[in-house]
Amino acid sequence: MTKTFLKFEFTPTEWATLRKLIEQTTTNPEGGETTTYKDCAVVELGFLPITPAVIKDMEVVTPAVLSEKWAVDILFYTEPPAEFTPFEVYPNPMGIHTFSGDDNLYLQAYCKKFPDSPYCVIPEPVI
Amino acid sequence: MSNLLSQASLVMIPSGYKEDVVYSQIPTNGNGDLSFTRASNGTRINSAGLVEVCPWNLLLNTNTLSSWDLEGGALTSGFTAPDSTSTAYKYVQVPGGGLYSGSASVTSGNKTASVWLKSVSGTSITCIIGDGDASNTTVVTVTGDWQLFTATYTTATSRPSLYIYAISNASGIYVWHPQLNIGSTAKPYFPTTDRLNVPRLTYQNGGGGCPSLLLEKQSTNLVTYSEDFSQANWVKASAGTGSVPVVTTNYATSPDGTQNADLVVFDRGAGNTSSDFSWLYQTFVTASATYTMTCYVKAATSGDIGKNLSWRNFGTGGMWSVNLTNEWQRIVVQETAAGGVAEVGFYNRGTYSTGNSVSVLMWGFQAEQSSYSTSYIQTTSSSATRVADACSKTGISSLIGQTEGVLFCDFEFVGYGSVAQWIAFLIGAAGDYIGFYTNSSNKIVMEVSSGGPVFLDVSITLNVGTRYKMAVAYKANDFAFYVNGSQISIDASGSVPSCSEFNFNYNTTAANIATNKYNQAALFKTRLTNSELASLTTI
Repeated sequence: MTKTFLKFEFTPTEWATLRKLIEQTTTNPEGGETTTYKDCAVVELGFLPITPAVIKDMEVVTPAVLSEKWAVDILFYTEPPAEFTPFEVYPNPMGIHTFSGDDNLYLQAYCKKFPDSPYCVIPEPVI
Repeated sequence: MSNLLSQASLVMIPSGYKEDVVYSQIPTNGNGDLSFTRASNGTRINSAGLVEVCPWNLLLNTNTLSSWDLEGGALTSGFTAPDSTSTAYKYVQVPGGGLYSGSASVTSGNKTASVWLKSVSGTSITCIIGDGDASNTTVVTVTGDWQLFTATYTTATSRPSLYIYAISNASGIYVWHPQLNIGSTAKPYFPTTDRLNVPRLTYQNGGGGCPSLLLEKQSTNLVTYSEDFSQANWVKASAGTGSVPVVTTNYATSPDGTQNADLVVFDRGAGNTSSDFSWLYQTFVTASATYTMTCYVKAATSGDIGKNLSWRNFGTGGMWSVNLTNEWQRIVVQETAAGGVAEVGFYNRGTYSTGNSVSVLMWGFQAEQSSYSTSYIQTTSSSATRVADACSKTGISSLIGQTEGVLFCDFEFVGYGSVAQWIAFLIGAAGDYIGFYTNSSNKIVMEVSSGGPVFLDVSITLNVGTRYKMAVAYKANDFAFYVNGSQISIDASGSVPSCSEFNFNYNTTAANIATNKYNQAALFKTRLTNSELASLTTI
């Protein structure tokens, strides 16, 4: 099964709608309903800092300025839903998060999008 | 294997594995081999007691070279290998060409390549092993006999992980079993395809003994550069009479057995008030949730043994203290964050720490949103997630007693989750199951359900970090549940569900997956006697 590692940014409303496409509701052993992700691993990175906080003497002097978009990394175990495509983002490898050991999967997606990037062109060996 | 276990229809004692599979000891024909998934790296404690990445071979498709690339030339399969199989490859190059391991390496660091090579012409030739960079060239002399060559280098992020090039004879070279592993010593060859779904057989701290099958939930190490405290991501600060921490990288041998532990000197000067400190930390935006911080630490000198170093998790201002020894210890602390910006790191701070100057060896810092610690997740420039492990076997009605039987599981309990989580269970159609799970009240529940009605519904409290042997025996109107040699419950009424699937942790969803270390598990197609159940479950 081919796996795909993609990065996304959504507005909170967009994410609330689209996440339903990759969610499933199951019955847990106690009989309650549990909603989780299906055929993928999801890490919600949240509103990423655009400007980091300034901290001095263990106190926050200036709070961080955060993006208004909700960042999400997804490792798909099946074909990603087409509805997610418009929300793909491609920070230079690896961005701020990776799935351990799966860097090559993100690089595959990145190089498909930017084949001429220095990250994607293997230089000839130097003797 | 005990006499009782030899009567089982399926026995899993963690020993043999490969990508996607944990082998069963009974049956040996493959019908009982368990399917395993985990779509990422993970780490374990190996038999030598060292922290090790699984799989340790960082290259893809090392038996087939199917994802490898050529800088010109041709690669053909089917040549006689050192083990007399026809699994070696022949690479015939063009001038200036070479063979390399696919896309660029995204991670950097000290690594060792190993590969079997043989000259096609039968005469001695030379070639280069490295990553294609001039500073990482190891020239080897290849003869007409198979030889295992190794080269240690620091991989760059713009180069492939392994490059074989500058072959001095036009006839080319035979290649077999390439590998790249972390550290300066070549490890035994581990064949890979996609490097995913490799089971982790983990040993106790310090190594030795028998391994357990480690099955964990998904977790993210939030800190960056978990092994390199010199990076700017680690803020070095001071106040009062203190000085900023001084980091010397790669100062000592770390718990992974390589020279990559950092020395950090925390000097708060002469002051002894809480305003005098030396501080190393990273900052995060936290949720209102429980976080666990872990780090390997050791006193750097004999004079630092017994000193306290303070550390801070994501909590609301609490300080924790670690007493340094001359052995590596993985320190662990849990705390509930209030939400918002918080720091995680170490201090030498007056009123909290002893010793105005403390020198400590540090390696493998981890901060995760979890109520218990999980295995170490290495990070570099980004945080990293280890996805959940899952182990199961479907379509084994013939190995599961359909009218009577026993489900036995021997495991170390790691911790409760926030929702109910299976530890081991047999399952059939909807409402048909037999198994154990932890519930949301922090108890373990044993249930047998045949189409809905639940029998033998009992619950007991487990201690985290403790080994348990549990067995449920089932037969119509004759059920029993044993834990560690003691009878917990019996039930003289109820019918037996028809089951066809054996699962360890709940494998339907990542979020519900439990974390445990499984020492062994077995299924029997007959209901053992109560005395046999007591014997089977005695620690």
